[in-house]
Amino acid sequence: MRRKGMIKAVCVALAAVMLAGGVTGCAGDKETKQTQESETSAATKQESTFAQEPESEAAKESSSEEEKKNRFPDRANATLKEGKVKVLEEGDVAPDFTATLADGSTFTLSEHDDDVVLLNFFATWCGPCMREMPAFEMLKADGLDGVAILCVDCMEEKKTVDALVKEKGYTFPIAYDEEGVIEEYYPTDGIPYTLVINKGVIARVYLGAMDAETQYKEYKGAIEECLAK
Amino acid sequence: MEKNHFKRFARRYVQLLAAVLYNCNFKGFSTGKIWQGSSKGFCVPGLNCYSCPGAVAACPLGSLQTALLSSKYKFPYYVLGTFLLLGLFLGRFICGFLCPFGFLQELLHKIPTPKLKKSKITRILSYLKYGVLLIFVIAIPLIALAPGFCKYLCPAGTLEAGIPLVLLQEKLRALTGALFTWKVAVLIVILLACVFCYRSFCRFLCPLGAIYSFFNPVSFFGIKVDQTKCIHCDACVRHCKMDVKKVCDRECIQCGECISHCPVNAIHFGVSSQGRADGENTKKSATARKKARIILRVVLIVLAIALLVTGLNDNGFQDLKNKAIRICYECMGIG
Repeated sequence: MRRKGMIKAVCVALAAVMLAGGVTGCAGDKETKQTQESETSAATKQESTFAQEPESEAAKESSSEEEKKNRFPDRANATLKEGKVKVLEEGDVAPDFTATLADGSTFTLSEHDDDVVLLNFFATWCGPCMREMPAFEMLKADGLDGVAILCVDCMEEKKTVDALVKEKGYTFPIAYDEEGVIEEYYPTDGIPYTLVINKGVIARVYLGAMDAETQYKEYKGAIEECLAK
Repeated sequence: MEKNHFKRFARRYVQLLAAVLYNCNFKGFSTGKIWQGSSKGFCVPGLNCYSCPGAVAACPLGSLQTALLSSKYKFPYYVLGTFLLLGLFLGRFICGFLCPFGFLQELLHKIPTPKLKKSKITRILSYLKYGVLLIFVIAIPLIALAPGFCKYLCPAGTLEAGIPLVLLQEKLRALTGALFTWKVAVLIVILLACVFCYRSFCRFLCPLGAIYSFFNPVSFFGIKVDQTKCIHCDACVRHCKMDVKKVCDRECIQCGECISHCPVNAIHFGVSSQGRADGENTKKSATARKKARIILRVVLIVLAIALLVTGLNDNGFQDLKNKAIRICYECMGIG
């Protein structure tokens, strides 16, 4: 009797939790959507800021800025089509962003429109991300002309990123993205997620990673291919 | 009739309910996209891969491994607090009632084939899971920076995340290799073993069960033995399919199957304020042990609350959510 009563109680409790979970889940979904919407609007705002800046500077400065802008007419809408985040593919225009780096400086993608950019998304809890990290250090040591490297930490606190940089002594640019604003422009199901961007256009997309040596060869090959074009 | 049916299958319903509750993002199974809501900041008690397209919360074992992986940058207060709380309140009751993979193993064991009975060998093999815990869940994440259990062994990850996502997402198919093949092979062997040997994965390999087993003597909820009624006939142990030496020991999954076999109705579910591992010989030693258990419980509760509060203040919930909303390639045998 007691067992039956207890099991009944467990069933009722689980059903209640399920109901609560469903409600929370729905709320969570709404919350996510709202967050996405707000981030989307923030992103649009940020994009428009980026879009306007070159315009205002172009008026003052040389016509090269104007040329650059004409080369990337879709940049402002690269990720945000009909309010939805677009999953990027090879051939897509790389969405612009400005990131704050662990060394205190900033990195703006559009400032590297003439370069090949290796853009990586990682986190300290991600095993494959950590294992491939030395590859970026090796690429930086190669000192290839016209190549920029940027690793963006996915939504971890600054102190965590700082601890990683301090412990490993990495010298390549590592950016904070505590709120996931940059990641919003480069949506991915999983990390590590690495893109090779050639003159503002995505040339290669990598999901996951092997060891540092393998990744170094892979990325270097892709970069050299872009530089040769 | 209805009452008998409920009595007989109550645990099955609870197991089914738990499995559905953990994986109620049904849309994910058609789109191949994993759930990204806030509920992913919570751990479910049972083994359930958070890269499963249906999963709405995080896997405790996966969370522990990723937390250990980055523990030198951030101490895993939140995940450890969650484990302590779950273990303290439910112990291996979770294995018996709230684990979807345990449920699946029990269903597979229903397939009519010759069955391997428990023996001294299976009892010895039951210690294997502590080795798996030590090597794959603790050592590999800390030393080799990989979630060892998820990457090399976890059958739940392959079944719930690896296979469905590889089928649903073309881009992931290109990433599969020897590791994925290995994980599918491990899954097949484990599922086949479960047909012949009751809950073989839980008994011999599951590190989550190994963790919860440490809490069995002190957990609040679960099976209780009334020592004043017990006649020490061992009917409960003889009928139990797990490698138990006595009810409530580390191998007991608190399923309650022994209740119906007790001739004197000495076993029942309950909440205990003094611990449930009974069998003391003298009144004096019984009192001393009860006192020790109460002190241990108080210490563990205080520790669990302290860890959870510190973890929440240290952004632990958000950190766990940020991990669990992303596909773990290693869980899937990719990477």
